[in-house]
Amino acid sequence: MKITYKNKFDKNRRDLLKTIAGAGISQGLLKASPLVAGMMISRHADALGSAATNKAVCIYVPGGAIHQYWAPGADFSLPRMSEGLESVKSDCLWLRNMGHTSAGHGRMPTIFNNGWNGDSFEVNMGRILGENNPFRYINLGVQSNGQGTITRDNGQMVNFEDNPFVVFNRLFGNGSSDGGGIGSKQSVIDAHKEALDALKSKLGSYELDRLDRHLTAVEETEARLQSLGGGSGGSCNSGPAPSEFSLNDANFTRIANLQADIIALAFKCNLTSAASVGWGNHQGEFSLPELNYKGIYHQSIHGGQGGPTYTHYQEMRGHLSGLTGYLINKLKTEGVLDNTLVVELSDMGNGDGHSGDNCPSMIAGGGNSINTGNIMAGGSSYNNLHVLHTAAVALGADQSSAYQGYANDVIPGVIS
Amino acid sequence: MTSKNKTLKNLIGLGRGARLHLCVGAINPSKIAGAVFMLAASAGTHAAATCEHTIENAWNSGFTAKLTITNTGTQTIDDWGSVSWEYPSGVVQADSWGATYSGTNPYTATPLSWNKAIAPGESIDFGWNASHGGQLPETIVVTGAVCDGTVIGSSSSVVSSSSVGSSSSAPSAEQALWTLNTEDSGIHFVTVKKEHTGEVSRYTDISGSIAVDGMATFAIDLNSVESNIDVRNERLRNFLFETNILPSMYYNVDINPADIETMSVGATRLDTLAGTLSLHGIHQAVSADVLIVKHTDNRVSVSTRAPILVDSKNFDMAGGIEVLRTVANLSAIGEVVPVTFRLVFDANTDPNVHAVAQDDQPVAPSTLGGAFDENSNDMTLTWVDRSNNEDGFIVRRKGIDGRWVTAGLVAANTVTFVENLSEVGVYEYKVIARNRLAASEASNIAVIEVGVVREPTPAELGEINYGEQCIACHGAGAAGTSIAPGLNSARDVDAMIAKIVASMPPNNPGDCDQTCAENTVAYLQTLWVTEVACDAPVNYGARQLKVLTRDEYQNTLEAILAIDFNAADNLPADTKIGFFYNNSQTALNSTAYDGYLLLAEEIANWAAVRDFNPLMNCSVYNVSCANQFVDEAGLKFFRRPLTAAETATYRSMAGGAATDGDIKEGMRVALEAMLSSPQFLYRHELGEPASGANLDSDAYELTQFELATWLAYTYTGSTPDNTLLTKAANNGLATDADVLAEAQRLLNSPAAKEKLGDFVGELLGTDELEKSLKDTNIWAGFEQLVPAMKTEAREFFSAVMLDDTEQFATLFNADFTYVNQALANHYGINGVAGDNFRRVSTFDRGGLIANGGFMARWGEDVESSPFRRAVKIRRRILCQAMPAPPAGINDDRIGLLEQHADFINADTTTNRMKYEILTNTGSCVECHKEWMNPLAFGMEDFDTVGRYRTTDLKGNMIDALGALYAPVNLADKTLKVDFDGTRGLSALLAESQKAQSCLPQNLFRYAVGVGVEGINPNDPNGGQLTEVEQAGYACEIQNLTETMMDQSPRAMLESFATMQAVRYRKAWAR
Repeated sequence: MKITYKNKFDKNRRDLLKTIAGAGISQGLLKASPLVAGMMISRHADALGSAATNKAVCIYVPGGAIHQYWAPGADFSLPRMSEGLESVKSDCLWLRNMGHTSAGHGRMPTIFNNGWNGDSFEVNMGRILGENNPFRYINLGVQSNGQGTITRDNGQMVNFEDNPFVVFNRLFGNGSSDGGGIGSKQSVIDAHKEALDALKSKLGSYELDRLDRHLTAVEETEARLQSLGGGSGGSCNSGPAPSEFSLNDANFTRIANLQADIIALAFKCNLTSAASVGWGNHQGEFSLPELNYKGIYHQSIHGGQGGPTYTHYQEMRGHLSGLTGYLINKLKTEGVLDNTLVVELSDMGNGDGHSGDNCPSMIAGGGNSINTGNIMAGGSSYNNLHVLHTAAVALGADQSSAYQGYANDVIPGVIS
Repeated sequence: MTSKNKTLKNLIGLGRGARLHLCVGAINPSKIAGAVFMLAASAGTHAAATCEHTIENAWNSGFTAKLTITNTGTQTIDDWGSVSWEYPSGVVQADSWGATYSGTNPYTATPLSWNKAIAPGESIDFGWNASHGGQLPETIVVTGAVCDGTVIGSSSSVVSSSSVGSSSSAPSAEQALWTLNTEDSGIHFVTVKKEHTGEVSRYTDISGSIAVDGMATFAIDLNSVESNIDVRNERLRNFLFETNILPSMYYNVDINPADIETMSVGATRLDTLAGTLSLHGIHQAVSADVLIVKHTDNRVSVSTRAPILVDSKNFDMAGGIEVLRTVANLSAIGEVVPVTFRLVFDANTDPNVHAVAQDDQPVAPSTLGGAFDENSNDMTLTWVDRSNNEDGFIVRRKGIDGRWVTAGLVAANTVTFVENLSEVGVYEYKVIARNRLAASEASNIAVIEVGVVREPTPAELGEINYGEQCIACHGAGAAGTSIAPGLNSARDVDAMIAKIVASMPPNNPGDCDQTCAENTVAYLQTLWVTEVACDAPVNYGARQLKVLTRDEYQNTLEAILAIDFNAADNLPADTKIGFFYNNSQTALNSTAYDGYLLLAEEIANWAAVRDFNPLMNCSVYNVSCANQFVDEAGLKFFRRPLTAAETATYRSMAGGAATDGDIKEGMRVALEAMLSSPQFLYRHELGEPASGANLDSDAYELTQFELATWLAYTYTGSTPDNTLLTKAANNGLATDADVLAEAQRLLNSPAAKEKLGDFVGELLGTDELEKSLKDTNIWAGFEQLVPAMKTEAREFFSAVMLDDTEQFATLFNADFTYVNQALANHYGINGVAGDNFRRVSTFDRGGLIANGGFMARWGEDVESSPFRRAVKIRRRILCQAMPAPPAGINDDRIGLLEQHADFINADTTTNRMKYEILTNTGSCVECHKEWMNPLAFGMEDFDTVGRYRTTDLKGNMIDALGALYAPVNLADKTLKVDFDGTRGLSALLAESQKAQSCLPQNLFRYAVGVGVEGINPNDPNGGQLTEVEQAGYACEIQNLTETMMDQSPRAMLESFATMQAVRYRKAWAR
């Protein structure tokens, strides 16, 4: 019997399913496609009424930053690499002169995780903070193209979801397609479970982890569908589906902003408690046509075209901060920033030297739990994992037995 | 009141003689007696209680203490409030249990919800571990309202909830009767370093249960060890527990559940558990003296009364302790580890919660024997494999230092082990079979006497040194750990030696002198050897489930349903491993599953509107139509006939069982189910157990339908066509000749050309050419050329690969290419009109490198990007493991740019000159001086839009003299070949054996989904290939290379289909 740890996992899952099964769902959506409707779980936005900080967003920014062009001045003026955060700067805390556990290229999986396995931070927070939410976490990307991920779920690598329209549809549905009722969808899912069981019995322990993951995925979706059967509906309006546009490099900013909208909306509607988003990937092979500098991000960092002040790197990095600024602002306007802890990390310090010093690290939001503003905090003895642990402590997540434990020390001066 | 005698008397008077006796028996009684103190409260109108502090166990530097509050009155104490105590200086309380603690000397404890009430005559206790400065505390005063008798009692009694025994239905045999409450339970162990310093560690992932039959099992995931220092955790895992092979510890003990059931609430019981501890592959009887407390009907706790003394020697861990001692630079680490636990169990009535069970234990190997060959210094062991469920074997050796260590790991079904012994002495060996979570008993012990040895080689000496000084950080086999890089790939030998002499090991630089460093590097070089002896009768591939890529999904639906829209954009991103998109390791999570389900619904709706044409066409939607639909659609989508169970499920669905009898709607649902089903989404390469003259007993052979599927997706990127399905149904792919004929047929299809185009587009990166934007002020119109350049690379590669008269060398030294008019104009080639591509002769370009797409893809917006080009040549064309820019360089880049600003901006400075000056100092030199710059600058005769050039944009002459250092082995920088320009480099590559083997190596990963370089080189902590699996792949690639060079690239492509590793599979470890 190979049930030692699987059982425990099963139990957790069953508990989660029970909770989800009791979640509210608008009856009016029953006529829509059952799947879409199943996803379209309208819920009271519990978060809005709660004082506790109970949500987390991880933001991955590639290519580091040059500290002197990133850290705010004594008068709280923002240098160019942070200029995109001007409108929300009082909600942010720049952690200065930070170290890194694993600076360099190809290390994305270890920026938000204390190893190559286990759970990355947003997944772990999703487990702890969002047990009652329909979606444990969402991990959204912009032009990541299946290369470079930060998300690990129980040891398995999970690619960013780069397509915001698919994400929106999954989370909020569009209610437009016809369906055959819950019964028929149940038969689809039952057939899949049968097939997975048959495969498992054929393979024994071989590939068991992957098949278990698949089965869990099926059961999670099934639970959302079954929750159609009860509940009293809710009042969270996702608004109309976004109009489609081409998901190419020219629309990098537009995609990033739409992904940010989706995160804010998902939090507002209490669909999930944890999200991650990556602006590109570690190779930096994206360009931003609306900027003066037209080359790719990688080139803005290397080769000296921008001179000793790295004007191109500054411009592009400043724009990436703006994407973060947009997200923070969106969380604010949707009323969830005070309940949300935003953590932004990168994979290095000065990208030109692949430096492991002075790595740009930031915490934002968190209401009264975080000392935001022009605070001096951080230091070379602290690294990306300390940022995560500090965030976990601020969220109270370190008290959970499910907490993975990313570090032991809290960065002083961050938690109020 | 505080005298020893008085205290003892009171204890005995309370009927606690047994406990006292136990304490006395456990440690020095003179220390214990003085350390116990009790404060008795007087009775009266108030509740009466005693508060006693007891030292339960002590060792050199610490002790375990317990505080017991006993209700001596007649009324229940509802809430005992808080109690406090103070230790003499030097005593520090550490981890604790059973109460909420606050303060630091004095310490205060307040109750937990379940132990705040104390019934008359009952007691509760809680405890902690503490360290002391060499002296046990003697007299400890406990204060608190309850101890003073000022807590008001009440007459209410503790309400008991329903007991487990009274549950209405009998629990099943598998059901857990009690399950471990992991929140309130804890297990701690104390390690003593430098003889006096105790450190308490714990495990965070524990589980346990008591089954209906009384089997109590307690399991620890040893990976969850928490010593509060990350590096120490990693070392404990790697060197002491060896969690990579033995991740779990079990303690099994048979108890009588009735003994717990019959205990009244609040009662305590002393017991000695006689169980078996399974740890590190060893099973030993270990008894534990415990206190069992029944807190409520639904909660019991089991606590150690005395630490269990686990002697690491008994579990073959003394060797690991010695490694720990060495790497941590400690004088000593205690070999006997005191372990304490407090386990809280909750009653379980949920029949779905099963008892924790240990995995099925493999049967122990037997008849272990061995011999030593003094000519080679090789010791060879052989044994008999009696297990059928092992994942591999652990070979343990007791060397001349008398400590057992793990000497090696070998794969399942292996029955030999060879290792080199360099010291005279008597060695003992034993072998243990293991699977995922359990280990067998050990085999018999084989004794090997080594009387004479030849002088050890430098590499052998280096291996010894590596094991002593390097392995802690760089890992076994020099594979690397999270704190230090792997050293198992080729690199500069002299630089390594110099680095070791100067700065290794980091905690003691200088400890390894020149000779030591040379020996160590000599050993490391043995790990770089890639040549293998291809003498295995069969090279086995891996049993695989590959999730369809987006392209495969799209192609398949176009083939079967003739969809005319892009469906695949809605699917989760494919995973890029190495240079290629490949989902061979991808696990479906709920995001992905939702995505597949949504898309399946959309496509099924689309097909239903079209009456399922061209899949089928029913004149009437009736049961016969539904059944026919299931059979035909099933065959197409599952790529095999349905099983009986599948037929029943899907016929029921299509027949309207879930759609109120609506058959068309049922068929739509069935189609939706198929399109999102595991049978469809996974390409199955699992095979059936096979037997044959040369086949191993654990061999599998792909079924005919699986072979058809492999051929179709490999050569055409799509689903098997009717010809393939018919052949599969008629056993028409049974021989290599059958398969070869199909491979040849498929290679002649247009889809094969596309598939080869996809390969080269991913290999060169040209399929993502639009990611290399150009400055429109300088390179106006480049964007319009992007599709043409992509096509050029695809046309050229597929033409050479599919033409059986072509040779490998043409791939690099071709004097032709494929262009349309726009591209011809861009390149300055005359006489080409129209949009169609045609072959044209060239003199300054041609081949995979001297090619517009490659050069533009790895170019900046204005100038070329020499280093990105060079890296691609090293990694993708020569298959050299060119390292990424090292992490954490802290060179002053700003200062460098300031220093050279004028030079960089000067009109006379070329791109080459600029990049040279930016990389010829500091940390850059180690890679740039030989590996990068001479190779990169030799391609400067191509600009960033893929045109040949002799001058740059400022009018400077282009210098494209280059050199390829280390053309074979990256470590060997002494070898160098000069060349002139990109065409010169191409001529070199055309003759390079390294390039010749690299192409089949890349194609192998592209087609098979794993590569000879590993399962996923991007994931250092992921699964690793076993040596045998890896050697098999290396041999297949060797065969492919020979076929390509002896015959043609096309013949090599055809021979992919008849590789043994395609037809024959094993369940290789993942």
